[in-house]
Amino acid sequence: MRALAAAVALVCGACSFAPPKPDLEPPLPPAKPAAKTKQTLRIAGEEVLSQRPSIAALGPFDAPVPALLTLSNGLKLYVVHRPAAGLEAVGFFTRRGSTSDPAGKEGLASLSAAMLQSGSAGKSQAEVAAAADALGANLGVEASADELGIELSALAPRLPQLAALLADVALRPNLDAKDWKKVQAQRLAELTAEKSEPVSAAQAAFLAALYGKGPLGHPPEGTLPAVKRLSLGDVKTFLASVSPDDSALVAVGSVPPDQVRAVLEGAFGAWKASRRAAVQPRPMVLPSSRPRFVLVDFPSKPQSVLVVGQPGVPRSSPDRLALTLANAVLGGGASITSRLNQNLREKHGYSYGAGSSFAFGRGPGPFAASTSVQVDVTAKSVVEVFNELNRLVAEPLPAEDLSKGKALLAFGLVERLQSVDATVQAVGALFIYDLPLDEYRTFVPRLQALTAAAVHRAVQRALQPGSMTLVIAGDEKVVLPQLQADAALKLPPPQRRNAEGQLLGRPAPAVSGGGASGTSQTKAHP
Amino acid sequence: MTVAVPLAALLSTVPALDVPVTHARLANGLTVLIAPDRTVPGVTINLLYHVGSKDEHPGRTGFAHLFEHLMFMGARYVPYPQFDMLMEAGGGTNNASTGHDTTDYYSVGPSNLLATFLWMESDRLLSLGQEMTQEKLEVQRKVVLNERRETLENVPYGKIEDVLPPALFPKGYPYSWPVIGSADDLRAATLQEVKDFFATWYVPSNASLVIVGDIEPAQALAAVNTYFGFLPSKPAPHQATAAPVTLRSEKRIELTDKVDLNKVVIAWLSPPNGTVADAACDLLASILGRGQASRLYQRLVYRDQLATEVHVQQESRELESVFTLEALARPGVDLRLLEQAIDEELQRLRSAGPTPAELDAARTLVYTDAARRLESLVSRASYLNQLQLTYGDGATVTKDLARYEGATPDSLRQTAKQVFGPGRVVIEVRPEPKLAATQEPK
Repeated sequence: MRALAAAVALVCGACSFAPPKPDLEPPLPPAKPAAKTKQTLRIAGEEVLSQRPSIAALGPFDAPVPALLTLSNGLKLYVVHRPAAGLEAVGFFTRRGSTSDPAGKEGLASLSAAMLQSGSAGKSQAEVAAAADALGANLGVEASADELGIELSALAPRLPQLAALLADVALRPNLDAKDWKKVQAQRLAELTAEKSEPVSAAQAAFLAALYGKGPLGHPPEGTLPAVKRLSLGDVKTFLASVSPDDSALVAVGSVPPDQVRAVLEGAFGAWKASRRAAVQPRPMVLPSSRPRFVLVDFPSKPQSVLVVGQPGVPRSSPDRLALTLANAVLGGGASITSRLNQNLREKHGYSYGAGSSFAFGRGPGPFAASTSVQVDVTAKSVVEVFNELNRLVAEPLPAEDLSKGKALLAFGLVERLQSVDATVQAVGALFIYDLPLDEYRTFVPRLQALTAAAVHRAVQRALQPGSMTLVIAGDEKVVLPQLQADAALKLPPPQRRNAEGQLLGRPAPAVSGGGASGTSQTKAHP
Repeated sequence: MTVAVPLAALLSTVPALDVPVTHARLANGLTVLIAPDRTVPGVTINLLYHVGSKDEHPGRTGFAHLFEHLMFMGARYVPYPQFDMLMEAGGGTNNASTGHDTTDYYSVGPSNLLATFLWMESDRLLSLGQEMTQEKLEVQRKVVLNERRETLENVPYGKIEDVLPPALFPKGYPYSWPVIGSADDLRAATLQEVKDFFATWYVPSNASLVIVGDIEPAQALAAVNTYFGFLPSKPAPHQATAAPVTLRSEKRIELTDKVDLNKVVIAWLSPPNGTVADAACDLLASILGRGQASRLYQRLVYRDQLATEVHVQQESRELESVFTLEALARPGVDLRLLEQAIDEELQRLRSAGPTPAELDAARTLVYTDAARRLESLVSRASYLNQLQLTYGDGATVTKDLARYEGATPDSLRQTAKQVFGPGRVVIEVRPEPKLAATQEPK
């Protein structure tokens, strides 16, 4: 494989796209043959290659604007009609995710999601899974930072069965005690397996170092000690917070909207809110101080995993689009020409790939630049990552970078909205973050309106490389002397954490607990 | 709830399955497939070369993949790093992948980049070998060694990838090494070998080009003629062949790694890509290991709680496929106990076959997956190129799916009996003893 899609599951519910406007395309430099130092064999007809092809103007991309319907119980239903799809995808979204996990109950949203998949409406876990298979559906139930989502798709004529299954899973979980024991044991085993994975370890340590015990300080999957403490009662309390007021349905595919509404009204229209005490979203408060250097020791590993970053901005920030554009140039998506890839991969050969991301959520999710590098060039790689961060903050984007970033993001939207499943996710984000229905339709015009100066101001407001946190998961006895010998770095003594992000050794100055902020975020790594 | 989908129903529901494909072959042997789609303002091209790690020589394993990286290092009219710079400036991106049998390259972007994509592909097919230099080789050698570290050496259980191929196949067999190759072999590759590899394998008659997107087929074909028609015809290379192989008995390999849980991988040789028996293996893999209703998930993960996760896959290849079953143990679970439960489930499938409902569900998943594979430009182009390679001219999605139509519980029972025999490789990975006392969280 040439490149891994650079990392960072951009929880970009609303990054959007549209093709670049012709007048903003970069000027075409004349193609020049490479300088030759040797005699070259030419082939008759190859002259056609001496002229770079012209690039015609493109029409606009009319990204979908979902229809917003309402069921009789007030539940919102977003519909995107794609007559040619042949498939129909439906999703159920509720505004509770891992940032709603109460302190000490990290992983609750995610385990509640797992319990939704463990038997419903009197059917066993196996019967529900077999019903999804029989439809050709991949049933997915997942909690991320700010949402709990259930999604499945099948051939369009199967919509009635899909809707019935979705309603069973969302509204009528068995919540059986024997199933709970299995789900909990399964999660503990998964978390144990992750301890030997440096990328997961670096991410867990990064979140814990940035956000302490606040809502964003842990991966959605939770931590071993917290999951051990959770009970089925906790899950019941969490699921009681799933109500029609804070939930929505999304359908994308071939079935016309009026039929979609009729089917989903039958499945969800009678649903009423529970009267039980429920879990409320936690306030987003950042810890007052953060460590600048964190080590997770992985003896004898050939690579170090680096994560450099800080709390970013919430999705509601007016700077979100400008920062998305800056990030595309720095280390976004599948871009080989991104600054981080050009530097660490192509120029220095330290890494297979490097990337960066903002996790814009209900709270200020992390900004993170990350890469895996050969252990013997760890310090040099850290210096180069900071060089790129400093350059981004010091200088406005040159015109060609600005234009390239816009073009990549615009087509990125086209690509992102191709499949019915991905479109359900993208439309679900409109509900979760209360974004306008035409968010994707207006994405490109808004993007095109951004100036280099505006992007630069947003970057300067959001990023302070001098106070960012560096996490390294790697071989401490090799890495630490390198870092200490590098005068340019001036790192404080390391704070040591384990692969789950917990502090080790002597108590370091307390990372003030309190709430942290919250937003989504899965793994910020290539 | 039985809702088995017959193939005919699938075809009537998903128009894209029968999407018209314009087929052409240039005088120099280049195969061309064009599938218009006016619903998105984008275009992708997928250029597949019929060369993979099977065509390497012992001592130079990993070469085909290293070469794939070198294809982005610039040629005569689009020198490094213009390939990426020009493409991304227009909103396009690209990637490539190398397998045992093939190497494919794709570019995707706004539909006005079609000519640009073709121009850049033609340039490197024309002149990459002549324009190759030692410096370019060194840049990508480092990147690939880092790729090997990141995807294999630094990853828990990654060493299985190095160990499994030579255990499954006899020495010298084209699949007896991993696609990524050995680090020593990657370090040994020379500039002249790069040039020779290019001259042998990167010729129009060994390639097929698929274009999918918002384009007019006649115009797209004219553009292909403009950019590829002048390339001279060269002889098609000889593909690697091999005498049939069998594994007569079980080979067991025990490894340790820096991990916390035990893991077992079991692998068998299985029928080659594109056959009805290959399709039967896909169905068996689904019944055994796909999703939470599958037999091994139910038995190992849910009921007995012996495993944390299970993966089962028919890895379809041209000469001989590989059927693999992986299970990650629960903390403290002995591998022999896990293997015994796996063997009981395999025996149950070998003796009684699947239920009709299991077969219907597995087949419905195959059909629905095919529809999903056609949704995005990039995956549709890749699928069409794989079909062309597997079935030759006239290949269609329907032809591919028809292989699954005739499967019965009894035919799957027989396939299970043939494939899950005593000749297999079992790799057990256990945690390395901890060297130093680990620090406890405060």
